[in-house]
Amino acid sequence: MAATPFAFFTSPSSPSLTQAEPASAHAALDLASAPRLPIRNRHCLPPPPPHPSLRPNPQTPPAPASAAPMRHPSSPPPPQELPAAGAEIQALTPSSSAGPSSSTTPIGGGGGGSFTALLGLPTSQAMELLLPRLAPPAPAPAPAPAPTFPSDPHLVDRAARFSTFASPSPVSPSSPSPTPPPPPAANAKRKADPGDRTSKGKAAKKGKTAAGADESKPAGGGDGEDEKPAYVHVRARRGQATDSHSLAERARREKINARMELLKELVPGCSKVSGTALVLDEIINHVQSLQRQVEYLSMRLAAVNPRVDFGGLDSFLTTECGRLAGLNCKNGIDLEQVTWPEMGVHGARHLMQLQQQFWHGDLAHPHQVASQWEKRGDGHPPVFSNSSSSLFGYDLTSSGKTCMQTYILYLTEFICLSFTSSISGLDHVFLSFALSGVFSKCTDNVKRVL
Amino acid sequence: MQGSKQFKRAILKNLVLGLRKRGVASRDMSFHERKSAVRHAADAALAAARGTAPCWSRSLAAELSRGQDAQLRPATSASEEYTPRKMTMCKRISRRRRSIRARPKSKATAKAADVLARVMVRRRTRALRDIVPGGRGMDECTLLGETLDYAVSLKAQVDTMQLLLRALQAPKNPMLMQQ
Repeated sequence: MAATPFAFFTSPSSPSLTQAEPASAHAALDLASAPRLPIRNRHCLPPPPPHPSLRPNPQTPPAPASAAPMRHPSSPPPPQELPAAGAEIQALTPSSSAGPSSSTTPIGGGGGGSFTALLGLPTSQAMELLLPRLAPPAPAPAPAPAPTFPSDPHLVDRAARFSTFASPSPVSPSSPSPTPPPPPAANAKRKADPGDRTSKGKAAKKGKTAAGADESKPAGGGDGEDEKPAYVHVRARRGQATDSHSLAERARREKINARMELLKELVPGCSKVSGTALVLDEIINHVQSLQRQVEYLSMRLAAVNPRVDFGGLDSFLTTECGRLAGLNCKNGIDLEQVTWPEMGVHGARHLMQLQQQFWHGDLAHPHQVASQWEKRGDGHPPVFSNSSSSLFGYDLTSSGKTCMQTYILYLTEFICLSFTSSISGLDHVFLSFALSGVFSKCTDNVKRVL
Repeated sequence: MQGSKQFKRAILKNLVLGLRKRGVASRDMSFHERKSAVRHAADAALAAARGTAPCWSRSLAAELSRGQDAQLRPATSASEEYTPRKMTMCKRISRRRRSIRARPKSKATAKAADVLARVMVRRRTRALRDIVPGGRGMDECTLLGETLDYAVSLKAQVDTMQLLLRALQAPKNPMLMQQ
């Protein structure tokens, strides 16, 4: 397990990057142009996306050339996780929405940088290295085992960081010898960054040990990776203090800066902002808006609920999920009471189409959704899907909206939808009242009235 | 979003199971109660699907189970209070920020600017701690990491719920017709 913290430096690259496409160049550029994590030189980084002219980083242009031949030999250990994670990165950057066609196209190029390098670590291993396993708390309604962790690039990246701190010692010996999987890739992707003095980068050295003497070598050197176990070494930068306190402080600061970088890339519209406080502002706004979206969606689900027979729905949802993902949890077994067995095929097909659509497409593509509805000849869904997609698309991509604006947006959208949907008259009047009641906290009055 | 399909599938499955178990489809609940039940189910589904690895998911699950007990008593919607407080905090921060930006910075006030920047960052970190579940007991560094993970998971949850919503609303007619 000792080798795993560094496995991610090396394994990831090929699969995620081989599938880089020009369409994703912009997103890749965004990621590439953002300051990289100070990952060690000698660790193989994923090859930068195939736009060498645009890339400001001193990354090696021949990487794209090597990417092509690597396309086939790529037999990545976590095949679906990497593309998924890379795709997630792609999808998360604001410019990735500019390439709608690349929604199904992978990924990877985006990775360009540091954190796709960290993707290779299988998340299960990462989790094992992570915080100690506690007995999972039993949230009441969820018996599902949920065996697989999400293939989350940021998570894996954090896992890398955590893992490095969890297992300090044997890390260093493995680093000089980059682990096998893409040896040619490793050579191609070596980051020629002479300016990067801090050789440890995130590799997992905390400069907090008593090995201050070792650490105080002045910058100059390459990456003299010290191989003494049980010491975490930090290379001091040129002209900086070398006592253990400031080194620890610097390590901590670098950790925080690295995370800030990741957060900046996650939150749309954050890369232009400079300064920690403003970036934090944006992050806070983003998370709050997501939470509000969850509230709103739960309200809509509650509105839809009385008409839904969840018993039948979840049985074929589960069968779909089970068939697709090959999951064989026991929940699939106890849902034997399939209420719609004969229509399962047709309905499943619909749901499959839906699922694929939403998982491969984007909310900002109402035309796809509209065509889907038209196939079934539904009258009103195009209206609502268009309005909702457009509204949602607009809302999600703009990070500058205030709370009230988003609420008003949701409210108007909801009202439009309630008029076009099949909610009965009384119900949607009630719901509108209820919605306003949420704002003004007079739900009790409303209930009393009605 | 293409990423982490398994995660979304897990969330979806958990959500549907949770909703079914809570009997959300029954008609004897008021709309408000149903909404909070759906939200709890969604949060629980998210926390369960995410696993025990990140700190926020454990805290979220703990909060939910605490909330379950509180629900037995007719407690005022604690979560409703939850949002306005944060909204006010957010507004306060942005108002201060606007006022601060207006001030011209001179070299003489460079140190003051540093202190000010530090104060601003500290204020925002506090706001972030309020938002991310379980953020109280974390240091800055872990907080940022947790925020990252939490934001990604929230996005996945939102997508999943939207998918479920559309699945419920749209193809109902053909389904019923085929019965």
